[in-house]
Amino acid sequence: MNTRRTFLKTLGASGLVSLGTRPHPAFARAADGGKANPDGRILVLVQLAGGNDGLNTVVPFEEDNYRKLRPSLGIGKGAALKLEGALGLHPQMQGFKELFDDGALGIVQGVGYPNPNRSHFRSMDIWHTAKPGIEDKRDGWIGRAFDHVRGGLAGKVPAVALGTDRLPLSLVSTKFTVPTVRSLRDYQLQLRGSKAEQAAHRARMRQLAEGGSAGNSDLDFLRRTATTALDTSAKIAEVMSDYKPAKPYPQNGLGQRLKSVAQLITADLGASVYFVSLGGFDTHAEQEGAHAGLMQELSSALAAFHADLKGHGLSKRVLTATFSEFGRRVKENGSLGTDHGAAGPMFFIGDAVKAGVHGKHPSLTDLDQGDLKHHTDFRSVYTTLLEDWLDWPAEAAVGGKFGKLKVLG
Amino acid sequence: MCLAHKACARFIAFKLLRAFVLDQPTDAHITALAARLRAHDFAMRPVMRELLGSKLFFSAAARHARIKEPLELTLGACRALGVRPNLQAINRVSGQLGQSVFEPATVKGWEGGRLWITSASLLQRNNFAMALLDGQMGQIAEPKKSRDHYRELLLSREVRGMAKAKDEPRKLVHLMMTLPEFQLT
Repeated sequence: MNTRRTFLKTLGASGLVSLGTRPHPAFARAADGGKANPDGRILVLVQLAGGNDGLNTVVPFEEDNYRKLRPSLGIGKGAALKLEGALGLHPQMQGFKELFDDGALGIVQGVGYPNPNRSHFRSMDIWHTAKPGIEDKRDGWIGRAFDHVRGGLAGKVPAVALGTDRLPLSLVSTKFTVPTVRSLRDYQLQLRGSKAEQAAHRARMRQLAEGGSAGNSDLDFLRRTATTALDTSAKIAEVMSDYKPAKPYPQNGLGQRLKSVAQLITADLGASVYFVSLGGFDTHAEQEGAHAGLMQELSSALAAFHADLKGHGLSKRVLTATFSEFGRRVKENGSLGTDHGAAGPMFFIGDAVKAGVHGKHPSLTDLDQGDLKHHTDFRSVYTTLLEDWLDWPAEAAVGGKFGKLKVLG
Repeated sequence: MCLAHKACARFIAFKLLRAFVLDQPTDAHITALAARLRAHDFAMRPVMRELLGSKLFFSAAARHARIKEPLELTLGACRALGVRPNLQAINRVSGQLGQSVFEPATVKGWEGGRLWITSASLLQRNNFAMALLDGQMGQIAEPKKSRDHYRELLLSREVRGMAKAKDEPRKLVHLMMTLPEFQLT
């Protein structure tokens, strides 16, 4: 039991990347033409917009420099929720602490990219495009990955952005249209009249849509997609009217968005990637209360999400990963806040996660202009998510070969 | 330089055929139009006149051979049903369907064709039909005309299963606008 959690093995001083690892045997395909992602694996990305203060999220409470550089904002040993060694979670992250103890939470330390950019927009673009070197916003890393999925994605909903106003750049593809679902109402067929009339009308639509050949004409394609759309929306209407989360969700924004994601997954929408965002992390002044609220929202929402999926027997199929455009500077500023920094931790949640702390906490003495240095390139994380989780080829999506992390069980 | 390359005329011919005639032009279509482009030394006016007056343009192969772009779908439906569109509402719907006016998601522009269509976007296309009938896209007169009238306006062809439809006009119009066939032009 404990072996999963006693994982504070730093795999070499440079982090935990192992170059040239072979694919995990479970992911090896039996033969060519194998279907991509046969067991319906799903990746949920949670964006923490504004630059999360990773140092007060995964807290190295015994480091002298932490106490020295964070005299007002520092979290003490007594308050932090103990993980392993001298590391603890922010006191408001009780949900994450329970996930950690249950073996469902992995923490990847010190993630970033070379020559960190401290502008929100540019750094967020870098995380979304996986192109730190050049400014090219044509498409995103997930969007590019769609193009290389074995078996193709035609007519399928490849991904869904939930609750965002615009399609996040990471999901932008030059070939596929990814729906932005502001709320689940977008996914319902709007009809009028009594229940019986609506049911009759829907049945009529279904009957008129089906019956094409299995051919490849545009009309055949439209018929198949229309039939799927009607069936899926019927399922979603069903889960919306009597959806019972295995555990209640908190009444916060992220919790409600994740509840919608769980409903779409339960309804078997067929999307491989879901994207949700939580904003407000740009805590330049009076950070303490604001950050505590965000930690509480993040932790309680994701704990509820995991419990709900588990209750529906889906927690093996779903992996959730968080990211933020940067961490914050080690030294607090004069306004009881923190300014834009560099490397930060990422969280992985799900039954498939190898729970524990992966990689060393970045040094608090060897800094880059006052910022934490990354030891794990974010493109290594992306490569791991694409290849070892979704079984999608990653090289073209992330722009090269990057070593993978051993964060999946 | 660029124009002299033989791929240039073919590239433009392909784009024109996709935009105005059919989603999946054959090699023969492309070769023929590329030759006309070169013959006119890339002057677009005579090329377009020929293209839009060509046998191909009026042929059966070019009918119902393009998947409507969101703007064609929304504005076309308004036009067919005599609705003066609320352009803000149209742009909002079109944006949900993947085509924000003057704001393509990528610099490559809209790829079009089948990439407009997913189960989600088809539902939203269907919901647009309901919103239009509800008057949310602009004032609309209650549909009262005959089946054949709407069939001609909305589908320009007979569709299996609709030939003997006896639904009341409003339901009939909705059914026609949610048919897979309605997505084609």
